[in-house]
Amino acid sequence: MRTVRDIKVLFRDAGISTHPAADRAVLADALQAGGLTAQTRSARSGRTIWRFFMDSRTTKLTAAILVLAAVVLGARYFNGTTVKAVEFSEIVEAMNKIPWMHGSAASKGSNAPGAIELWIGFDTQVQGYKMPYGRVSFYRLKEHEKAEYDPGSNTITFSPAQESDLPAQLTSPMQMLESMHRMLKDQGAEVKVRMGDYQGRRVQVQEISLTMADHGMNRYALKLYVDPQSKLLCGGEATASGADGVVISTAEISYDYPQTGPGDIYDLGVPRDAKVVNDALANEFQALWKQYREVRAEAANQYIAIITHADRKGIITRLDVDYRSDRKHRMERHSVFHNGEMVDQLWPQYKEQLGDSLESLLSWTHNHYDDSQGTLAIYLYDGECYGSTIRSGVNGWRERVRLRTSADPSPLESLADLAWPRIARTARIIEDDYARRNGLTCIESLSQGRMTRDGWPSLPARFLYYLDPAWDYMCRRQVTERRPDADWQQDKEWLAGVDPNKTRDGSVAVQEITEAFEAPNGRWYPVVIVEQSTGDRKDYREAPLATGTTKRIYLDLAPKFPAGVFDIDKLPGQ
Amino acid sequence: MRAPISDRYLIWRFKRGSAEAFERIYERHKTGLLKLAVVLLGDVHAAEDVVHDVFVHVAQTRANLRVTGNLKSLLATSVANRARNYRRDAYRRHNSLAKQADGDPATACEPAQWAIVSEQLQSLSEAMAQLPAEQREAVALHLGAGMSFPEIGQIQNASVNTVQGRCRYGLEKLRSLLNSEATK
Repeated sequence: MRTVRDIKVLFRDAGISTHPAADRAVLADALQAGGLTAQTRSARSGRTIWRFFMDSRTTKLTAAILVLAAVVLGARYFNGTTVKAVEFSEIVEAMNKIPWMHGSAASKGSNAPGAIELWIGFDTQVQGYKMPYGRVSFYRLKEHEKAEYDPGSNTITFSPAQESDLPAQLTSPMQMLESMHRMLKDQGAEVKVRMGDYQGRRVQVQEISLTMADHGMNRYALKLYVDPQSKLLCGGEATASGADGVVISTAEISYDYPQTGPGDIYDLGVPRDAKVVNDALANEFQALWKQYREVRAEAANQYIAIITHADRKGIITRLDVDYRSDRKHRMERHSVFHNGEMVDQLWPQYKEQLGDSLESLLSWTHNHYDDSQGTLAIYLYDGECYGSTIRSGVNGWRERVRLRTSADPSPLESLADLAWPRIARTARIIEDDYARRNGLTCIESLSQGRMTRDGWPSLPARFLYYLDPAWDYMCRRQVTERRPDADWQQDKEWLAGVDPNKTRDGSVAVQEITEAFEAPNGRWYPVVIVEQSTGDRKDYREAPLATGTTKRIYLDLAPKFPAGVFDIDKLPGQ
Repeated sequence: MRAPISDRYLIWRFKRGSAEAFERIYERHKTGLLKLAVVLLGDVHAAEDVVHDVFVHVAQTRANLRVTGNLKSLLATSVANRARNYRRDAYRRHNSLAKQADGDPATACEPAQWAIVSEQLQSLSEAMAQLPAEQREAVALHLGAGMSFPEIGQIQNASVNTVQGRCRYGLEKLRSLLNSEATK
C-alpha cells in the first residue's frame, strides 16, 4: 500500500536517461540558436585519438593497436576483402550492447615500455588509461573532468578536460569506429580479411597495413582477431617497421567486455595517499576573477555616491562622498559632528539638516566644506597623481601626501570596493553551505601573518567573499576571520620574540549587503550594508556578532561633476 | 572533486558567450526537465519536443535572460507553460507512453529518441495522466521540480491555498491509482 511519502519517493527515484547522440543534437541546436558555436568534437575525427595516444614514442605502438583494433573492424569499407567479413553493422550492434570495453596491450623487445590498459565505459562515458611507468589518466566526459596521476611526484591533478584532451569519439562504439575508419582511410590503410585461429579457436583475422612516416616508424602491420559469434574483437598483434623494413617493435593485445569498470582513478591502482591538486577549481576561479574585475570596472565607472555611516543607534556619524569618473577618483570623508559635541542631543537637529536624499546630503557636504570647524579628509587621484588633505577642527587644512602612482591608493571604502571588493588573484572557489543555500559563489583568500612597519603583528586572515551572480556578482557577504593560530601560516615562528602585549586575539567580522537595487543601466548596486563583528577576543569563534556600522548608499549614475573636483592643484591646504 | 558551480555563475558565463557553461546547465537540468515534461504530458516524444524548445529558447534569449530566483524553477516554469500549450495543440498528441508499453523501455532506444524512460516513470506518468490538468501540474511542479506553493501559485494564477488543495487532492488520487494498479 503506497503512502503519500512513497509517491514522493517515486517522483524522486523514477529514472530517466538520455541518448548521447540526441543530447549532442539538442545541444547543437540550442547553441546554434543562441549564436554560439557548438563544440563539434566529431569534426576532429580520429586525429584526437591519434594524438592522444601518440604523445610518447615508446608507448605509441601498443596504444595504437588498442584503438586501431576496434576501428578497423569496419574492414569492409576497405579494399581487398577475400573472406566475407563480419558485417560492420553487426559489429556496431554488438558493441552497442556492451557497457564496458577493456583492452590491455604489451610491447615486446628490449625497449618494451610495459603494458598499457584501456577502459572505456560507453554508458557512463568514462575512460581510463594505465600507461607504462605508472602514469594513469581518468576522464569523466559528462563532467568535463580529467584526473592525471604522476607517479614521480605521487600527485593526482584534477583539471577541466579541454576539447583537445578528450578522445570524444570513444563515447560510443559507433563514433569510435566511424571516426577511426575515416582516419585510417585518410592514411591509406589496406585491410585483408580471412579466417584463421587465435588461442585455439576459429576467428576472423583482419590484416591491416598502414604506411605512415612518424617518429622513425614507417609501416604498421596489424592483425586483429574477431570472434564470429559475438562479433566482438578478442585480440590482436602489431608490428612496426622502419623505412628499411627492420622491425622496431611488436605488441600483443587482448580485449574483454566486463559488465563494470573503474569508478575513479583510484580504481586503476593509484595510491590513496597520493597528493591531490585541483586545477579545475583554479581554472574556474581564474575565469570568474577576470569577469568579476570586468563587471567591477564597468559598473563603477561614472558616479557620485554618498555613503552614510550610522552607528547601532542609527545616528549618522560620518558621510563619505565618492566621485568617480573612469580612473579619476575623489573621496571626501566628512565627520558629521564637531569635536566635543554631544551626539545624542544634537542628532535630531543634524538629522533634519542632512535629510534623506542624495541632493540634501550633497548640499550638506558643500556647507560642511565651508565650515572651518568641521573635520574633513579628501583623497584625490586624478588618473596620474594622488594627493590627500585633511582639516581637523581649528588646525585648518594640511596636505599630507602627493605622489605619482599608477593606481588609485584611496581608502578601500568606495562604492566599487563596498560592492565588489578587491579579491586576490591567488584566491580560490570553495564549497560552502552558506553559498549553496543562498545560490552564491564562495571565494576564499588566505593571508599570512606579518609584522607591520611599526612593530605590531598583523594576524593571519581568512577572507570569504560570497558573490551573487544574480546581482552582477556583487559581494553579498564578506567574512574576515583573523586567526592567531592559523594552520595556513607558513612561518610558524613568526611571533617569536614579539611582545605578548602586542599580540591580538582573533576576531570575525561580517559585512553584508542587505538591500540592493537594479539601476536603469541594468546593473545592480548596493543600498544598505550592515557590518557586524565579534571584536578581538579569545573565544571569537563562538562569540556572537554585534552590529556595528550600517552604511546606506545614495547613488547618481548620470553625474554632473562640480568644476575642478578632480583637479589635484585645487586640493586645499597647498 | 569539483565544487558545484552555481547555476547563476553558469548563467552569467553563458550570457557572456560561454558554450561550455550552457552545456553544463544542460547536463545539470536535462533529465529533471524531461522527467517533469513526461509526467506533465504523458508522452515521451512530446516531452522531448517541449524540453528541446526550452533549451533552444534559453539559448536564443540569453542576452535578456534574467534569473533572480533559482534556475531550476525558471526552467521548470518554462516547461510547464510549454506543456500547457502543447496539450492544447491536439493534433500533435500521438506516440503516447502507452504505445510504448509493449517494449522494454530501458532498451527501447531508437537513434531518433532522446529520453529513455524507466518503467517506474512510465507507470507514474500513466497515473498522472488521469489527474485533472491543474492537479497534475501542481503535483508535478511541487514533487518533480521542487517548487514551492507560492511559486506554483504564480504559474497557475491561483492562491497558495488553492495550490495546496490541488496538490493534496492530486496526491490522494495518485495514491489511489497507483495502489489499485499495484493490487491488479
